Amino acid sequence: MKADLKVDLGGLRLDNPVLLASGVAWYGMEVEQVADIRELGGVIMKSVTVKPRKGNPGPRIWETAAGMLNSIGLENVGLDEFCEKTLPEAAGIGVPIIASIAGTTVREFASLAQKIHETGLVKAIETNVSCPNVEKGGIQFGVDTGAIQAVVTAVRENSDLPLFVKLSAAVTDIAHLALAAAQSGASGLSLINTMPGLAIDPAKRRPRLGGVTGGLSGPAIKPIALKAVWDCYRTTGLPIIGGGGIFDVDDALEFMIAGASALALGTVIFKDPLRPVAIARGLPSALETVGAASVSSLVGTLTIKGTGRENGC
Amino acid sequence: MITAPGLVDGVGTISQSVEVTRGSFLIEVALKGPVPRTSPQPGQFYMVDCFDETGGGREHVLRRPLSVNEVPSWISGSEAVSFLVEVTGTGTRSLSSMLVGSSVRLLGPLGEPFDISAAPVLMVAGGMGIAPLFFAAKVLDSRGAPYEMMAGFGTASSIYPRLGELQGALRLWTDDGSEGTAGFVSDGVERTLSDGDFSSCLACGPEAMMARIAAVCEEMAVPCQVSLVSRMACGVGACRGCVREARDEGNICVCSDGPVFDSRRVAFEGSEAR
Repeated sequence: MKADLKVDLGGLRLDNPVLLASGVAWYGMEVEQVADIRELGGVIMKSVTVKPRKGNPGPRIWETAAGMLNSIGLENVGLDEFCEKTLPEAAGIGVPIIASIAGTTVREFASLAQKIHETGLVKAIETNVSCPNVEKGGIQFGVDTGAIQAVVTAVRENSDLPLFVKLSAAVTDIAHLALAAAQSGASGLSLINTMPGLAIDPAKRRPRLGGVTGGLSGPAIKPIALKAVWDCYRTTGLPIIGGGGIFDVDDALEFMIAGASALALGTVIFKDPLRPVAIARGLPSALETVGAASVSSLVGTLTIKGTGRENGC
Repeated sequence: MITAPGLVDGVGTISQSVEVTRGSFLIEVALKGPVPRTSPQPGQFYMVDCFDETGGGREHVLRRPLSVNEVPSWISGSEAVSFLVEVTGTGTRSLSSMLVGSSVRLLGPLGEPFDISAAPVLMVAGGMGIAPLFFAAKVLDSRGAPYEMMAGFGTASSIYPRLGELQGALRLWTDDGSEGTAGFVSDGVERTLSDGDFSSCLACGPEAMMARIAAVCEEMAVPCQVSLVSRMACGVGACRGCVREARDEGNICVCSDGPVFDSRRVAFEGSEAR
């Protein structure tokens, strides 16, 4: 029997768990010319802000060991064009669309959610809480339990779509923040965002990126992502979209075992634009090889008994 | 696998790899599998995976954008494409050390090509900027269309040795005067444009060189196209990694709006023109 790829993440029902992560596919249409993304479970779109953003100066990308830094700076068309033009076009592809919203105030998150909800074109909303909170001295929403709760509550008041909070693992205790999201009504979590990093040109003593620092993605961050998924799964029990350096079906299985019900693929698309579809196609037999009849039967099945690990350190 | 019309993501085999000048390689890739529905045009590029797949391809996650130097056998019927590659970092070093017979993955042809319909064409190449302009010259040769090629290099030993194959007028510059005229190739553009009757100018090379040529062309009302370089991740306009500011229209995406642009759209970096 072919393994069942269908998943339900707090009301977000997908034919298969393979998603394109926010940021890599712009709004999906550009990638559609290279790969048939209708074979994927869905696409998480580039984060949208209330006003259009030009993004950061170049260079915006730099390859690093087993990964890359990016400093795009949330370039996007802004909420109005997003709802009037981009979303209808993306919805025309015929793949489930998840919108990613990024506000600089709680009120902005509320209006983003409201207007996007009203289009009726998205299956779920992901909140990008890596932006500075201008009402709290520029501290990121995502490192502050109070701010996470305020954002989730505000989005919830404006939309009953499945709501995923995307968290950064560059924090002391990600599970603590995940719990705050869970307690305020998030449907699930999206883990992890890129890790902050810096690359330097020694000859010029200058940063490699125009935006100075960037977000590290790719295989280099996979172990960090796996641990974040495992921590948050055990703590909250919420459905998780997991990602960070997924390059093949074995990586996909690892994320599921750690607790992810769906997978967000990003950097791999640059290495091989056809790989996400290949992973989706390869999942049924990969699940069979580990004795799983479905994705859901594999999620969160990491076995730690008998490892000899002591509590604490 | 064929993707959108004309676009191929597939595997090629390195059929030739020659160090043509010190540190610069002419690498020909024979494309396997489905035949692309369109052949590349001058100015277009491929995203080339410069690394072998040992370790699952995880060590290096980005392909490199390489502009087409020639389509050696498209003209003669089979499918191959060649790239002129200067070793400047890990990707180009890896690609240049791959043996004939090695497989490489590549996506293309991508991007907006040069418009070479308005002849006579003046082409101005600086250093590795010769790569796409050599291709443009070859295509013009095949059409019997008139053009002039001005090419500048650092020194005599770095001159692309295949320039002798071109049928159009060729003039050389070297920074150190070891061959041709001493100085920067951009020094000669104004004079050439006033002496000749050119309908268009194509420039590819260092940013400052293109900026200066663009300024001269604008002053003399000659349409000028420049081919820009940027670090890229996706090559198709999705990731926004190669984006830069335009003169008047916000952002331009080098991979999908370009790499060839009408010079009047471009806000050139730096102020000192060379």
